[in-house]
Order: sequence, then structure tokens, then C-alpha cells
Amino acid sequence: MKVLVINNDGGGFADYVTIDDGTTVRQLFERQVANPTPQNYLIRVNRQPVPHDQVLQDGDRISFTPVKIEGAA
Amino acid sequence: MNPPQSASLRERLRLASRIVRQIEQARLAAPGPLPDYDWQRLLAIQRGLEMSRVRGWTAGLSRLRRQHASVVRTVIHHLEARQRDLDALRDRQPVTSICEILDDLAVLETEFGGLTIDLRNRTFSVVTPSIVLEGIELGRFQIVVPVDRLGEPSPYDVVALDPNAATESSDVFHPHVQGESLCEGEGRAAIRKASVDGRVLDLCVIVHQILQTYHAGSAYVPLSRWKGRTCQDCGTHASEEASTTCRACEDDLCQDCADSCAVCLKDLCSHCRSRCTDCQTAICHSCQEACEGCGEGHCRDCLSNERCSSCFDESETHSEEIDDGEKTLEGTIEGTSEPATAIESAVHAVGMGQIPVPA
Repeated sequence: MKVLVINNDGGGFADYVTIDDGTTVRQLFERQVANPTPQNYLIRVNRQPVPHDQVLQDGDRISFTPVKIEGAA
Repeated sequence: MNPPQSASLRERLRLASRIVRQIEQARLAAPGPLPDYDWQRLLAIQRGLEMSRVRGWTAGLSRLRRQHASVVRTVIHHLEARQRDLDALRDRQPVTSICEILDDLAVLETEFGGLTIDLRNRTFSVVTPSIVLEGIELGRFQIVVPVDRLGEPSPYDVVALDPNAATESSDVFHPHVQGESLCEGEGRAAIRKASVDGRVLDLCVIVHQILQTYHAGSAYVPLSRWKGRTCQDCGTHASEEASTTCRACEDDLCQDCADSCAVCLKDLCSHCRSRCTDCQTAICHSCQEACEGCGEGHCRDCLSNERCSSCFDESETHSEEIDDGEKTLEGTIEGTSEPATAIESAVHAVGMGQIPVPA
């Protein structure tokens, strides 16, 4: 099945990816994020916060946004 | 500033449709021009090289070859940039649908406790909760997104609603905000991508996360200096508690550089105070008194009869000499057979440059 993954870390990856049935949010997060520490990210499915063991559905929109994003000057 | 309000479904729908149109237009923007000028130069140099080869000209050949290499590099640079643009276009997601934007707007309203849509000015905005970094309250910020700027790298303004600017820079309202501009740092690429894709929820959330993060190493003004003052004497930054103000010129001072006038006890900077020439006590210009003898500034305690100790000693010595002279004079008068008037005349005569003529 295909889900839209938005990784707002770094370059801001946003694309559809194919995942296996039964994949949880946590598994996808660990696959997509370089340093997967869930507490450092706002993790949402279809724009809503979800528990990490939620099983993903076809067409879900998953976004990972770092809690801390350092600005500059 | 009106309080955040709920946008009607009609407003949201109109806004979402404008956002979709804007993103489509931004994607249709014509790519940059091809390097025609450089290409023509390249052809001209090529002809020049060919002519030199056929006619056996060697003068200027090395210059032509250098130009050739330089223009080739320029053309390659332009074409690589075009390649990147085409790749980016190919990788773009389909334009976000109106439904998705409506979902984004609904979550924005819930998450920020309000969504303001200004259809006339083609903007929408949300307001962050008050931002507190390292114990310093920086207040709320309004993230204003002009729809016409969507698709651009930084399509928003950040407006400080409860401005608490850094003392040393009145337009720095946050370590990473100058005026209405957020320096995005690590968030730059993700914001640009969200803008190009029309993901307005992600755009506002990323901006909010940057506002909630402090990076001391790259701040317009570090929080450690947010509320302190810069000493005008030594240039160091001191906290508010360790700072004072010169009571004469009102410049900021650190406590190390401030010195109190020994008379009026007011804090003074180095320019507004001097030292008593005698006792070296700090003293302000208005409490300083000039010695009537030498004219130098002194504190009141070091003046005797309006004179400093040196001038006073000198005047005392002079007075004593006069007294001694008078006593000597009196003794001579007493011990002589001549009448006092004659001696007085002699003294006066010497003093006035005149010689008395006896009658």
C-alpha cells in the first residue's frame, strides 16, 4: 500500500512510499528518520497525533516534524 | 490586533481555492533564460581558434584558450542549474487539493486556537502562544501568510504581538527574528518544500517550532544579552543588575566602570568625572572646585581658603616671609639714630624708583 510521508527534518522530504500491510507508525518513523528518537518529533497521521503502535492504512498522510528546529541569524 | 477568530467555511473555501491557484501558477512560472549570450561567445571563440590554427597564428592563442575554458565553465554552470530546476519540477508532488488545504486550515485553527482569513488582502494568519526561551518571555507571534507568496522560499512574515525587543537592537524580537523576518536556519529547506507543495499546516508548524527553539550560536542577539546593557566605557555587556547609568550623561555603565562622586555620590562614567589633584578622589565636574592659585580642580576637602595644599603652602610661606621682612624692618628702625621718616622715605624711594631731595 502507498502512504504519503512528509519528513520536515532537513530537506523536507515529501513523497508517496510503498509500505507493507501492518506497518506501524513507529516502524515507518524508524525507516524514514536518520536519528529516530520519537520524543524529538511531532508525529502525526492524517494531521492528528497518534500512538506509535498505530497501524497505517493505505493513503495515510504521515508527517514527522522535529520538535526543535534551530534558526539562524 | 483583533483576537484570533474562527473563519467561516465560505472564507476557508475561498482561501483554499486561491491557494491552489497560486501554487499552480508558481509551478507554471517560466524557467530562467538559457545562456544564449555565453553560447554565442563560445561560438565566436571557437571560430577564432579555428582561424588561428588554419593561418598559423600563435599570438594571442593562449589568451583565446583561457577565454574558451572560462566560457565553457559558465555555460556548464547555467545548464546544470537548468538541470536541477527540471529535476525539482519532475519530483514535485501533484498540487495539493482544495480538500487537503481545507483540512490543513481546520487543524491550524484547532492547533493555534484561531485562524484569521483576510480575503481582501489575500492573507491568512495564526497566532502562537507566548514564546518563552530560557526564562525570557518574548510574547506571542503572528504568522502571516500572504497567499501570493506561496511557492516562494519564505512565504510568510512573523509579527511580534507583544514585542519584547533586545535592549541592544530594537528590531530584534526573538533571537532568530529581525523585524518581521525569521531566519529559518535548519528549517529553511523544509519550509521551502512546504511552500512549493502548498502544505500550509506544515509551513506554520515548522515556523512555530523554530520560534520555540533557541540556538545561541547563531542568534541576532543571544538571550544572555537580551536585557542587559552595554557599558559605554569598556564595551562589555552586563546584566541589568550589574549595570548602572551615568547620572551626568546617562550613558550605560557596568558596575566596574562606574565610580561615584565623593561629594554628591552620583554614579559617573569616566568622561563625566575627574580626580582631585591632591587626594585623587573621584569627583564630578559640578562638585569640583578650582584652586584660586593654580586653577586645577580639587575636592572641597582639599582646599583651604580656596587654595589647594601646594598653593596654600606657597601663600603661607610668602606670608611668613612678608611677616619676617616687616619684623626685620621694625627692628632696624628701633636700633637706628635716624628718624623713622627718613628710613621710610628711603624704603619708598627704592620701591618707587625716586630719590628724595633734601629741602
